[in-house]
Amino acid sequence: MLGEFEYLLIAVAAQLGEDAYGAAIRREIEKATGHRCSIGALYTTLDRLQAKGLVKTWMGEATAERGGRAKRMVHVTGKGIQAATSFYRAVTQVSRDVSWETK
Amino acid sequence: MTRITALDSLLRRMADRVSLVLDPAERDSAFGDLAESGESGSQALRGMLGLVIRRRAACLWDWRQWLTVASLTVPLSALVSLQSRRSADGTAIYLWLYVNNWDWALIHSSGFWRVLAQCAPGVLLSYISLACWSWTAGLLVGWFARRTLWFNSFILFAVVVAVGLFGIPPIVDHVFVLHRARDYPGNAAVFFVRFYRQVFPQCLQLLLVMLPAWRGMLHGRRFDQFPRSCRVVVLIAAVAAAGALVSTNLLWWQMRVLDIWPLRQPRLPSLVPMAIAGPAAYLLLTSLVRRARRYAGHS
Repeated sequence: MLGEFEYLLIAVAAQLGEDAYGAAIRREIEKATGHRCSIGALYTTLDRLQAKGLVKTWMGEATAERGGRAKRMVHVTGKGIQAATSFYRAVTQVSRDVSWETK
Repeated sequence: MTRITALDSLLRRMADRVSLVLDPAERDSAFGDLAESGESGSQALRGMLGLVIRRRAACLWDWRQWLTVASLTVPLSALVSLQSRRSADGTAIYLWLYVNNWDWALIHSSGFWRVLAQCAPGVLLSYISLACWSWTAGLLVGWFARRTLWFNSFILFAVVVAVGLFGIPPIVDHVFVLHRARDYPGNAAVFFVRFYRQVFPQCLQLLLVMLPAWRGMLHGRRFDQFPRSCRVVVLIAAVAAAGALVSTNLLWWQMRVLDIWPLRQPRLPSLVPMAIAGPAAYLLLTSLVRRARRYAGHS
């Protein structure tokens, strides 16, 4: 079972498709959650997901806006899509009859 | 404004220094991400520190890390610390004899010179052996735990200090000989002096254990750059040196040193050549490898 940050990362990487890399994923996570995403959390989680075979990462091209430094590209594997799907199903299933209105 | 820019650039430089411990590819992509996000110097430093701390902490979850600590770092550092305690107490007696009881008239006494000539080489050799053992311990730790050297060096120094101050648990008394010169009432006058009781052992530990061990760890960390055959020879020499270090703390060796060995023959060999085997092999082989590389570069 994925953790919530792992799920966020996989979902954003899947959404970004071929443009998924460190800075872009971070930006999207921060936009969606409204919280800061530290580079340490992002990179260590990426490593963990890669060790589990849920994502694949490789060094991509360098661009001028990055000061000529390479990007760490991310691709969600089939196993990663399966894990994210089952996490999503579980969350929607348990949330179905829950009323979040405060009394 | 200039001050803010200068501070920002200083913080960026600090972030750059901090990131040196990371894998080069990861360092590159992390700095690229920070640059692309337009983060300030303080945010870059915070981000890099967070990444480095997380990476370091992740290593502690690896069981091999703890195996190295338990099987190599702790035993070796405890043994060099015990040896340092024994050397400090043993040589404190000579120091006390010559320094605290100094009389200029002794210079004219032939007996003084004869006794000095008898004890000085022994003291010198014991110091050389201790420094060599410490270096060897550092080399082995630096070599086998290079990924987590920061943690293992902390454990090594902590164990050296703890054993130096408190000794090791009495449960291992039957294996190791823990007696020190200060345990004998005849030497009470020497250890009545605070310097020989507390300061001198710490000085010896700093100079002949911690500094050589630190050098050894730095050498061990870079040892993978040397050819395999060179590493095998140094490893054999280092293991022999570590074996000699274990021997000096065992009962049978102490019986031999104190001349209470029941049989005079066969005489056991001196451990000093084995103690210096590790550093000697390292110095010899690394200088040969460097010379060969320089020669290859010229041709």
